[in-house]
Amino acid sequence: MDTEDQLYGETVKALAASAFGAGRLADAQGRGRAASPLCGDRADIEVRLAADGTIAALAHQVRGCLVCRAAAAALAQAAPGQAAESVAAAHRALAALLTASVTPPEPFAGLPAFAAFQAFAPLRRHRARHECALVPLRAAEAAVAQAQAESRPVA
Amino acid sequence: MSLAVAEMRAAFPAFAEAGGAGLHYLDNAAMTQMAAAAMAAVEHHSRSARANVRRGLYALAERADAAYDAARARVAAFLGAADPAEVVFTANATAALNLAAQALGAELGPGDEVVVSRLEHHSNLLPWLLLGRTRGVTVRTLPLTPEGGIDTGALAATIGPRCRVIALSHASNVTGAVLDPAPVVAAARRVGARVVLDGAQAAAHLPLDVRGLGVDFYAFSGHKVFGPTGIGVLWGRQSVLAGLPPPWAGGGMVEEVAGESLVFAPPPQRFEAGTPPVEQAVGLAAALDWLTAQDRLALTAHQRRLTAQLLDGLAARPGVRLVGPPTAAGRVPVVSFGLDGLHPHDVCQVLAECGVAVRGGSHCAQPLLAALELDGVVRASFAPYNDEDDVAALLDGLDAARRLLG
Repeated sequence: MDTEDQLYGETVKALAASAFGAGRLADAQGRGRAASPLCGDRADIEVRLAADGTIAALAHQVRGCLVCRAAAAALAQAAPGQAAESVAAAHRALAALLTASVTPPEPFAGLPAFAAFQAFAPLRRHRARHECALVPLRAAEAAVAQAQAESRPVA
Repeated sequence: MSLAVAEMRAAFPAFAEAGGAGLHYLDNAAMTQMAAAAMAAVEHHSRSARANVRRGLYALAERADAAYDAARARVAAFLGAADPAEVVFTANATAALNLAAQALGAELGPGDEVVVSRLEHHSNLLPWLLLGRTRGVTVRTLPLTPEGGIDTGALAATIGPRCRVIALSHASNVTGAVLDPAPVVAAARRVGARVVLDGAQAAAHLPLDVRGLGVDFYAFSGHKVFGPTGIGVLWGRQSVLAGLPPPWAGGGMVEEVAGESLVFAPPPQRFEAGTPPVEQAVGLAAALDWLTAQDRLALTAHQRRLTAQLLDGLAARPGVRLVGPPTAAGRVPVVSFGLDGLHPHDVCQVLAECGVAVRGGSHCAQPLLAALELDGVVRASFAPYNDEDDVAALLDGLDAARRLLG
């Protein structure tokens, strides 16, 4: 069972081992890359949007640590079917979970699909590792923005 | 003869303050702990001689001048320099290498070449690559040997007639491999090139004689030789320094300003614009006093023994990929390795929980890691205050990481 201060809890390890969503996406509409200059973790995210603007599919290629790979897998599990804006909201929620001076009580309360990110709470104690979890979300935000721009009808 | 490690550790307050016996500090290639003597010197100077240098006529300022000059002389003696005026104080080795690159680069242009190697720390790579962008200089690269050293056998093929500078690490911060500068210097002389050595990893471990080495510049930093942060050194051969322009300007580095006419001060002041890092220089000098008062041969033997123990321990474990020379000989006490299937940051995190302080990642040497086809490595690096318990704690921690992370 995961404990509050167990960075490598079963949930995080299982997410990384699942490699859910790893690979390339056929017909990607948006691509984003983010990297941490501190540790070198790097994530490439590809997304495709549905006709209603929600996220239809998301895939990732990660060169990074177990935490980074786990965060990318959690994202790939959570994002399909969600509003495109939910990626940015999840990014903000995770950043708040890791860096807010006071731990937010339920940062993912309005984002139930992204609740698995709560497993990264033990990272709070390790400032140098925050980016490991945030990098995939940062890349996904860029990918979603590009996909939205691509799919927007030309005026 | 074994080293009295307990006495050695007593000279470093961090081990009393930061967990004592529970701290296995093996990140010395990034920063050594600071000697008590250096701390005391900084405090004494701050209490008794805190005034700006080269400006005041009062007693406090005269003491500051004397302390700063003495620090420069101490560094010169440590390096075997001909004259303290060849010692330029900077903020760190990175600043020293940038100073060398900018000063030498002012004379370079398109078609001129600078030679580096595949294993350079970014601090001795990016300043030269910047010259490529700003002045059109071509940067050429020496390859690696199979043991993770610089392949000096490729000098003839790499150094052309337009080579103006050869800038190499005296010892690698990743593989630990030590460079023999002699063939480099010989090759440089044939084409009239300058030789810059990055001594950041070598200064704490190798006996230095810059005149004997035959190089033109040598850089190192205080925080890797048991001194304070915020202090570095660029030694430059006087005849070369005297002909170089200052890359930046300000107070204390000029003899005369009349209209737009400038007459720069001679080295080293020419390269020390503004208030220099006086306390840090004093601390560095005290650290070097401490280091040179030790039996350096005994220190080397002790650290080589620990390096060999670690190499043996790693060799006995499956899934370990060692980079660098296969034995403790031919390297400074730096050991880097990868563990199959485990990312170095995850390994370092588990080691931290075990009280073992090491570094993981690319170690600011991305071209080297790319050549080794690794995303990163775990690096352990020794200092005289380390002992067999530190090696055992590291190896136990690696086993724990393997169990936890699979």
